[in-house]
Amino acid sequence: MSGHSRLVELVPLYALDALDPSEAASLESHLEDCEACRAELDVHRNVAAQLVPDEPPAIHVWDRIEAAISQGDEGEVIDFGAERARRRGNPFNWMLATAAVVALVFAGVLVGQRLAFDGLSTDEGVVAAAESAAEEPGALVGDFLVDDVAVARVVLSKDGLGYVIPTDALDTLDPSRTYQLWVLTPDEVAISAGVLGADPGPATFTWKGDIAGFALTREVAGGVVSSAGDVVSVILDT
Amino acid sequence: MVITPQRTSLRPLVRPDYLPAGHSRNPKTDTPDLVSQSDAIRLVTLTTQPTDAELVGRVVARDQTSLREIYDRFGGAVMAVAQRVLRNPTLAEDVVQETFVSFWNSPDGFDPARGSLKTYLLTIAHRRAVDVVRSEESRARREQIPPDPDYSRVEEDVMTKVSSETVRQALNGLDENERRAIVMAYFGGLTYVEVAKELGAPEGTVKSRIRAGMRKLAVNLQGVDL
Repeated sequence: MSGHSRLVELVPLYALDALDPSEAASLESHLEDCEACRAELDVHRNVAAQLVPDEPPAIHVWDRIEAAISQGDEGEVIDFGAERARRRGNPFNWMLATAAVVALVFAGVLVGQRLAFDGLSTDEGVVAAAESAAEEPGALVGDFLVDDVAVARVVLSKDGLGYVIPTDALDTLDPSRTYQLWVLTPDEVAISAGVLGADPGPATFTWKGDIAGFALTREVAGGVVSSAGDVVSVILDT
Repeated sequence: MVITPQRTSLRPLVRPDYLPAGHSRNPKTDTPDLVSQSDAIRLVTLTTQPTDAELVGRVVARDQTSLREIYDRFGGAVMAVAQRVLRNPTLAEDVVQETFVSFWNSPDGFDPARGSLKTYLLTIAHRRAVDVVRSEESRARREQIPPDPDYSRVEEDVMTKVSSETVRQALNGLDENERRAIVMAYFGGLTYVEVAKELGAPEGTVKSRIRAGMRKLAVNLQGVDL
């Protein structure tokens, strides 16, 4: 049985989120290149949606949504804490505990090094700017590691302009998912620095203020206000 | 937005000077744009009920009122799927909130060529809900989920509350084992391996039942023979 004919059989189960993670990952990788399977997935997802009853929406949940998006639009801090912390302990510490922790280093330590590690994604302008920013005095540079392999490098200049440069080692996610970058502050708050997409390229963000580290997580497409805790990697400023 | 009413062969029922609210006289002909009651009804319907795609366009332009309209249309369905998977109203509300906030932050992710807006929102919500059920990191949240329900009741509930007679008939057209496996997987948030364990059936059999059932539903509900 060819790869396609084996994997296409998994599509209806994937549409119901009924595959185990390893099978889902194989199919996701196949979906990137197979329009026929993507089209079949669309059909099954539409079928599944038709099975769900249209019930009246709850007004009090809208109030929560409205409050959350108003907070986001005003650029206020999005806190991991409060309600969720009460439920499952301090999520900042929990986030650190669930991921490989790597030290952030100051750029001065990297004198002579370039960001030209193998597998760097193409988008030369951003990459060049990140390389240049990494060499400025006071810049912070760190690598997100997964099993000791760099999946992305983060550079934050003294002026507050940040760059995240994924490598080819960063897995592509299903289109319904996204990578999200978080700034970890010294007062133990994780603030979203940006939604990077399912297949991130070099990207920029801004951050002004004290910083304890960065976290990279996997979230639903579009990003979230508080992470579900699917942490890819954490960088800590030690 | 320009609305072009579809002309009908109906005799005009509306007086020439009648204008529904919000519509003007055609300056070229000095007659109202509307020529029949049915057109008037259609126009009023169109102007008060923007399409999903129009609402998404307005959300892209950061219009919260349109997000509210989308919530009014699909928030109930999103809650319905989250509540069935999670069986805990608080966790389900979290998922509904995260689904709509995520959509607000990135409305461009919706591609109307791939399916309806309801499908898009439910895909996000269902994935999010099963993540809560399965993720190791969310153990504390998972502990708030009641133990496995009686799946025959879940199935009854789905059959009773399903939104259209067409869907009910399509579900009734499935082999009982196919229907049960699909309901357990989708509304129970189970993998097919977990469904097989629950049913005491071989994994391969459950996989085949889900696949066969979904393909039958695709024929009956989407008109697609896969």
